[in-house]
Amino acid sequence: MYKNINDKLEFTDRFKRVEAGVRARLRPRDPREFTLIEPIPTNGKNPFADVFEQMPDAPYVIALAHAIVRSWLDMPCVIYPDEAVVGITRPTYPIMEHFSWGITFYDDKIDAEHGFESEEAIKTEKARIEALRERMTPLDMSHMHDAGIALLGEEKYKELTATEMYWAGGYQGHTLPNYVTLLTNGLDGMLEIIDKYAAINAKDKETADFYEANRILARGMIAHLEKYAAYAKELAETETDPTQKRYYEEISENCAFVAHNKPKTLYQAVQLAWILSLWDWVDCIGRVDRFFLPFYEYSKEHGDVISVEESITSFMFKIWEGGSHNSTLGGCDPETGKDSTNELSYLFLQVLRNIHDSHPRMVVRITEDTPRELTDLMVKIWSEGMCDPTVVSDKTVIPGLLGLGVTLEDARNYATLGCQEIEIPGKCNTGCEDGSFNLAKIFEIAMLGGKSTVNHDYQLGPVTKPFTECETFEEFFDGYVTQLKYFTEIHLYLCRKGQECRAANHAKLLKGLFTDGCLEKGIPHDAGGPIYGYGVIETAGLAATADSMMAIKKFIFDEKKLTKEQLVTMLKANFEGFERERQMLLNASPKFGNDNNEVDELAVRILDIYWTEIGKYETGRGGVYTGACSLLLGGITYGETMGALPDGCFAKEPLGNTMGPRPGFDKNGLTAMLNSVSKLPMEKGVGGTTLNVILTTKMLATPELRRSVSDTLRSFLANGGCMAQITTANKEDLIDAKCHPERHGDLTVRVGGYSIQFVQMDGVSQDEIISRYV
Amino acid sequence: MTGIVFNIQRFSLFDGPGVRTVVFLKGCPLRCVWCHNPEGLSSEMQVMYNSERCIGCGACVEACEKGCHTMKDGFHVLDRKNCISCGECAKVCFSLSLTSQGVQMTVNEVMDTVMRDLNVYRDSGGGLTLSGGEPLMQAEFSSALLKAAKDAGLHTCTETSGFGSSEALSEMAAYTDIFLFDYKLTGDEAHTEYCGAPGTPILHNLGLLDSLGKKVILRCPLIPDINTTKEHMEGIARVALSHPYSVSEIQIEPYHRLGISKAVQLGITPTYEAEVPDKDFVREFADGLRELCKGKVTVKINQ
Repeated sequence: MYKNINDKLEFTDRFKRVEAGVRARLRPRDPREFTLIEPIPTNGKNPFADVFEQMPDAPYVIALAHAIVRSWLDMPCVIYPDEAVVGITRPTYPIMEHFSWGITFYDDKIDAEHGFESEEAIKTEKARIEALRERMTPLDMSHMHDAGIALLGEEKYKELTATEMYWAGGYQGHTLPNYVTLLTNGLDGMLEIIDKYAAINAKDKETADFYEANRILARGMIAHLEKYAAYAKELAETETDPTQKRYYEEISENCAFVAHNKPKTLYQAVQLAWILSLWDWVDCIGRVDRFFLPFYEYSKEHGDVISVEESITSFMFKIWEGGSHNSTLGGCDPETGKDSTNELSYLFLQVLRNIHDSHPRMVVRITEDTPRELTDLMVKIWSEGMCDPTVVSDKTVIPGLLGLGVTLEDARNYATLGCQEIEIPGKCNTGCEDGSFNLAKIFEIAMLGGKSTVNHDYQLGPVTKPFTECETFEEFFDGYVTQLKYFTEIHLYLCRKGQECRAANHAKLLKGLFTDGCLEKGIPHDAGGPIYGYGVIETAGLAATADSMMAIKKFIFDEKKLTKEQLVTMLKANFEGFERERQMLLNASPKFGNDNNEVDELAVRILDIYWTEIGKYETGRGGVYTGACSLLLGGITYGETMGALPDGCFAKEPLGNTMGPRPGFDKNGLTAMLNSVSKLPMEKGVGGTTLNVILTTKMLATPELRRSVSDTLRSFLANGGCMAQITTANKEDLIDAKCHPERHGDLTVRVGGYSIQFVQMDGVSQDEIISRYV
Repeated sequence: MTGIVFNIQRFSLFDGPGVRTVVFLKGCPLRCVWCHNPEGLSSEMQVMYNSERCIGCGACVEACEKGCHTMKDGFHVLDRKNCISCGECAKVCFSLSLTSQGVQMTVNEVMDTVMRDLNVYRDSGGGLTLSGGEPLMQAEFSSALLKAAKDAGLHTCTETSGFGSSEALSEMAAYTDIFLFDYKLTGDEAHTEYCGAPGTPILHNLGLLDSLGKKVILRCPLIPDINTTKEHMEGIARVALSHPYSVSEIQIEPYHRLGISKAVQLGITPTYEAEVPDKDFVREFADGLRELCKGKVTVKINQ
């Protein structure tokens, strides 16, 4: 079922109406990459401030749990017409929010728009918040900055942060809660689990408070569902349309049931899962085609209030509107290791295909036995212009996780989250991510012999031979490694301080209730509770560094085409007046992404050194760091901090996103690019290493072409590749590529009998292609 | 032994089954007016000039002993009158405005690149495709390359105009799994007029492949005002059906204009130019052909 790519799943009339409603509500919020939305005005209300004010003597974690619950229960219920699964996201509170680092303040957002009508009201509110601030945030980010200053001295720390070399202290903190625990126990069952472990572990006040906070949260979720049940019942009583009346009654009954009981049917399971997803900031969800499967099978056999297709569609619509980051399909069974693709995997893809939007995002795990039908359906979805699903390789990921000390069964159960990071659902806190680091900035510092890139007179790193004094390439490379190791140590120290902030603030408190280890040990989510606490560092600037290393090796040390002084002068001038030399650096030196062994080996060497180095440091949660390379926008933001580089790029150019080459530098076709990337030491970067691949819809136009593309990617994933994220391009993209070739270097088009990099063609030929494109 | 190669195209999806690497060999005996790979015509190295990429650095002026390059008001001017295609200018042109077309390569050198995608060939049923130019023009090298590919266990295709020595073709046939064989025009007179040589020897060679039982895909360019006729449609069907042991598929390749700018960059004045044929027309042509072939041969459009 659902396998045939020619049979599109049709939404029922009821769900076509729900779909139209979702689209209408989403339209004003495009483009969107937000987890939180504002469906209703907040009227200046802030449950966090209110609760902390009303409970001046309560322990922090207890007050926080009450505040979280209040933030949900204070909000009116909203049930859209024809819906089956209910519950809408919370508004973003204007002043403070419980998010990545715990309670975060947004002082500048107290304004009339949020219900504070007069200057006086704003002033009063600010004073109220100020009075509460200390109590509400036990440790703010100044903890990390203070540690940096203590370590390096004020002046040096200031110089360091001015280079914008890294980001430390954590980002969104995505983790995957254990949906299986919730679905197999129900919320009453969760309360029993809390009591069970509290009886064993709650020997001191702090631990007892932790368990009590979890009880408050679980009861809050129950109350939230009960509130919806009551509201739906109320609506049913006054509804005159008999069909809608029945829908309300069904909703009421469904919510009332799963408020306490463990679900039996799929409709019950998706409602309960959605409430957890809501409370989890509509974060990533994990292996949906596995944990819903028993309920799907039950409902298929015994029948259900709505059909199984409608249940999955309801759930998908909710995560679509809520902006869920990621869920995972396919992949192997944790116990047997065999491919576990099932009917639900196809059904989810078919619903995704019908939604045809930038969200919800989905990932398909590829094993050696992934059915052809699944990859065919996936490629068909790309050919229709969607960028989802992303593919990820079991063959590459699982051994990498084993290397981090993850058990075989858990490694086989991995899922993706965030910007395609990887972790074990319900058992991890990988910090996702603890920090990010720009390797190309270290290159600039190494060129200066350890001096700051901002203030060239300031010795920021250890003294190494500046580029102009190096006699050999290896001498320069050694200096790079020295700088890299020095700044890695500082960076990871700061990351750890960021972890301390999160732990002290009980950041994302709810995660602990649904993460194995936290209740069992009585230790919160950010303090080392989860079974796995390894950390993830996102890595930027690899291609730019390898290409720049290659260029100086070739033109300065090997061929002596340029002197060191000449190169330094050119870089300082951002190549102004040196266009010919820039073209040489750009076009006459091998670039990463073309299957050229010499430059690829440099990339491997650099990344191996860096990822080995971070693997020597421990996180505050227990476990070491592992690398990741899935920054989507990071390549652009880090690029903006860069000066001109010896690879021929001007200052501020994008560094290239994810694992791939710098934009436009791969000129030997997709397979060559994939080969270059597969050489990288993926086993040391288990945090998620995705690669952007751009294909035109025309290259996916026939079943034969789609099969070839899917074979190419399967081959990549079976031979060292980790992830590929597809972008399909259309006519508008081609027009933009003609005007802005620097943004579209990787766009491949079909020309007559073969495919070619679009930006390599002359303008006349580009127009030809554009004119032929549909 | 070396051959002269003007391009090696990896991740090619359109020249035979699966994912392939296409090796383009330089030199062609025909002069089809619509040629879309004009850099493959000459057997000699050539210099291609793309003025859009020129940065006006003037390095070529110094590199050229024949005085072909001059700078006028800061702009580069190329006069090919005395050009001997030595490629010295291309060597110093870092912006890739001047490029050398054609490199002498050994079989091993070509295979080094081809073998890099071995995994993908295996997973997709792809392999090596020889194209051009005309592989028959470098028959010995082509055979050696195809043999090396077969020895390495690769699937092989040869794309050919069919114009060349029959002995060479049968030699290549021993190492070729599928021929992508052109059928451009019906009638010797038209063939000579538009392609510079008669078509009869080509049909003779197709007959040879048929007698050898080689798998052949007939590739038929559809060129406005030249071969878009009912007669040619019937000609294609006749040729396809009369070679039942070889031809199982016809691929219609509608004219495109991408050869024109390449010709200009080579200093060749294009003698033929037309609008791209209308999509519906191409579809109707293919439908007509399909009807004539009575289901015995597959007809596809290579858009």
